[in-house]
Amino acid sequence: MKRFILFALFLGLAAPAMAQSLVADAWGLADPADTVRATWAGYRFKASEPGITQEPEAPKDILLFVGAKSLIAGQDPAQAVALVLDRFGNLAIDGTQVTFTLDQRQTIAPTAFGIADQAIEGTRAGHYHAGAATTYVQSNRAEYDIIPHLLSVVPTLAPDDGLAKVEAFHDFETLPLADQYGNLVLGGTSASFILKADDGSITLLPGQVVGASGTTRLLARDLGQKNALSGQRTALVGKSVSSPVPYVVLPIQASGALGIELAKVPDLGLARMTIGPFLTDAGHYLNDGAPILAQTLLTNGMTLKQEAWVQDGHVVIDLLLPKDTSLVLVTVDSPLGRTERLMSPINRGQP
Amino acid sequence: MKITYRYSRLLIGMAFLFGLGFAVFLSAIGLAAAMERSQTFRYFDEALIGPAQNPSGIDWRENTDLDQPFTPPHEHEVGRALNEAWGQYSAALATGDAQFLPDRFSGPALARAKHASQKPTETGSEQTWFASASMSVLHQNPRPVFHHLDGSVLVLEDQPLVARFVLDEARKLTDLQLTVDATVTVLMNELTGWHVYAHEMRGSTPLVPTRAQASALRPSVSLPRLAGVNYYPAATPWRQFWPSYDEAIISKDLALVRGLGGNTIRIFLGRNDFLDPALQATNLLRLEAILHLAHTQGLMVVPTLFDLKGDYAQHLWAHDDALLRAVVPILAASPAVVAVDLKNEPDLDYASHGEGVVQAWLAAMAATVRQIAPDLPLTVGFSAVDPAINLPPLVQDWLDVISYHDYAPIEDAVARLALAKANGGGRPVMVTEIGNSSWTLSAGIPSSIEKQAQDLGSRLNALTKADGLLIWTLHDFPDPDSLAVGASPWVRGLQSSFGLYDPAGLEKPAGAVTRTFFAEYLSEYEND
Repeated sequence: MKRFILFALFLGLAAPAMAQSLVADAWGLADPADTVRATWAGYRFKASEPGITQEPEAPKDILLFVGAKSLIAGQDPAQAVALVLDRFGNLAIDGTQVTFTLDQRQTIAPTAFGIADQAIEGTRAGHYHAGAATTYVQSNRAEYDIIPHLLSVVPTLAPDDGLAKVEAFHDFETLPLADQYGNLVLGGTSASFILKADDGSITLLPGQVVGASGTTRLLARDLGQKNALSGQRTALVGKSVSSPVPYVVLPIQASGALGIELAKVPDLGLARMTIGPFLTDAGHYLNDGAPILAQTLLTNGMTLKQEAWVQDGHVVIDLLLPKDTSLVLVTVDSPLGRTERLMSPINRGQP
Repeated sequence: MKITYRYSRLLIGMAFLFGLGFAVFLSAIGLAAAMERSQTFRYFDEALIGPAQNPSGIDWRENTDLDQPFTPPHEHEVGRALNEAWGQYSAALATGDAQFLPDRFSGPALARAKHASQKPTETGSEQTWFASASMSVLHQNPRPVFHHLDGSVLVLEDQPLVARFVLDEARKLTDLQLTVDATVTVLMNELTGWHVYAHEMRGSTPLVPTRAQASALRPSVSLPRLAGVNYYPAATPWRQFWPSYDEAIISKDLALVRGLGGNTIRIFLGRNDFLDPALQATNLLRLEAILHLAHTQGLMVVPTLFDLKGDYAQHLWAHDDALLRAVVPILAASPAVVAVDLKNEPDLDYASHGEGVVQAWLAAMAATVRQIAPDLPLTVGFSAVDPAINLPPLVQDWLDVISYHDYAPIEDAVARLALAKANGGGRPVMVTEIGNSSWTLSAGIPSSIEKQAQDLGSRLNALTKADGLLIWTLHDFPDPDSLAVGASPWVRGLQSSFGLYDPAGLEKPAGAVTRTFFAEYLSEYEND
């Protein structure tokens, strides 16, 4: 009986005694025999005993974070942050010296709470590599870009004759664009051109930077079709607008006589009229898609109107002529002007 | 021969009647059990207990000189991540299920959280206690000390209130450490939000159990003798009290308490009523109002917190801490509040939630209240004397008053009180619930208003040595809350008729008995 009481007493006391041996750490209560947990740095204590601080080991790993990844020259600050850990994942001891390599320049910063940081600034656009290292270990490479300070770019229009023609391509360009630090603007950056005509109309030409110059291409269709249209043009890059430069859109001129041929499509009872080529004084066909209006006067007094578009310099129009009628007069209106032509008789009944 | 035949018929008849009675008895038990299992609710929100939105248990300290400003939206996002992280970690420690940890932990912190929450596979005594080691972060008080310019890395210095405890195989509390730690937490803003990447402790201050200290509002640490009632309005008891708060009715009821000669009311603060952000602000104003009302009518108040709390899971402790930080300042500022009852009858939760967890929770809540209001006396209203005096010192030492409820056989009431006093360590002993039902089914069975008055008088007279006596309850409740008393018709019947006033508002004989007793009980104290 006495032995039993002693055993019961042992059982009763054993649990609290065991509990007393637990170690409190940041993650709760730990088994003192837990060898993994024993490697975790920081303050740990047993009940009713003074605590101890488990120091981290030497750095074994550096995680490098650089952000923002794309900085505007001379404007955006960025930051390189090195999180320094030992082999168990503990934060490095405060004051650990970290050497940052940024743009091939080295700076040293101490850690606090396992973290060292270094500000990143720059006025020279480009793609950069960053690294961090301690005596024992270095980080993976991080990358970042400094891009031109677009808001400081002042565009200037490249000199040209400023003479555009209807239905002809005309390229507008700026001089090479650079920010206040001399960084050339990157290709693909938006560069727009604005045409303010004297008649009050405004045309916005979206463009982009190619080879450091802003460029766009104008195909004038509804500008200056009959009379020359003049105005001022500017370039817009970032928030800056270039000084205005005059421009003129000239009507395009026909070159040579316009051909108009008629042929019969017997099976369908159609008369096929082929108009063209529309030759311009610029030495090429009128652009595909240029609008054409063909009016045909018939022998019975009727007028047929047909709209079409130029393709490969020609327009083909099929006409369904009433019985016993034939074409008398064809009038063609195009960006090259009006052409009227008396036609040889052709009617539906002819073979 | 003829006599034998008649005798056997009599026996058969008696056996039939006995069998019929037994069948009816079994049917009644079956019906009661079935009603206990299936409970009818009028609305979904009556069945779903708990706030729709989790409270924040984080008080941010001011930050300065950060590379990237840490603004209120940051506080909201990071705060939510921290709450979820430590809640998930507590749950993982309690269950051994670490599958949710990657939601809020990464890097070395994830590895550590997984390792710490891993249950050992070996059996044996040494492994058993380790398997039951738990931790709960109750409150956080972080200060950002580093915030990456691009918002991807954040370092916090924190002073969390942490509970660490161990349960034995019988789910009893064997170790409890309440501390305010000094920690460093590194968080990473990853694809799925903020994650705890590293977490280390740099120091720790233990919270040693203390008693309430005197203050300007409460210059004396000794409590007056309390005589009064547990209070709900007649028509809106339990969960209907705070939503249906009616100051006019309460004012009349408090006058009734004064008319009985009482000086105290014990009221109940439903956990959900004071935790749900949608309800909290209104109910805090109502709490202030009822305390003011009681004070103006010369009544003291024992507010009982966390009423109808249904879960002691460690990941919810931070919510309870947040409730205390909202409620306790109001209680502390009221001269009417004489003591705070942390929880009504928590010992009844031992069987379902584990004795150790409930006791650790009690200590953690006591420590939080003590942090917020060092002058508020604390007690816990146990359902009986044994759990009140058998608390581990780690819990008991926080309490200023021993309180229990005495519904046990009246013959031993004196002995129970003597036992409580003998084990109270010199603390006042109050019996914060006594009462008898007057529910009558038929012919004074099981009780009657006369029997109620007689039994209550006997019990009051047996407990005159108590330092406080509070009667359950002022009113009868025609429709007691099924969540509080269950669905058994028998229990509901009994619970409906414990009042000193009947549903018509008329004083029952027990009221007169109470009035006579309170007059003598308090005059004795005043003369002493």
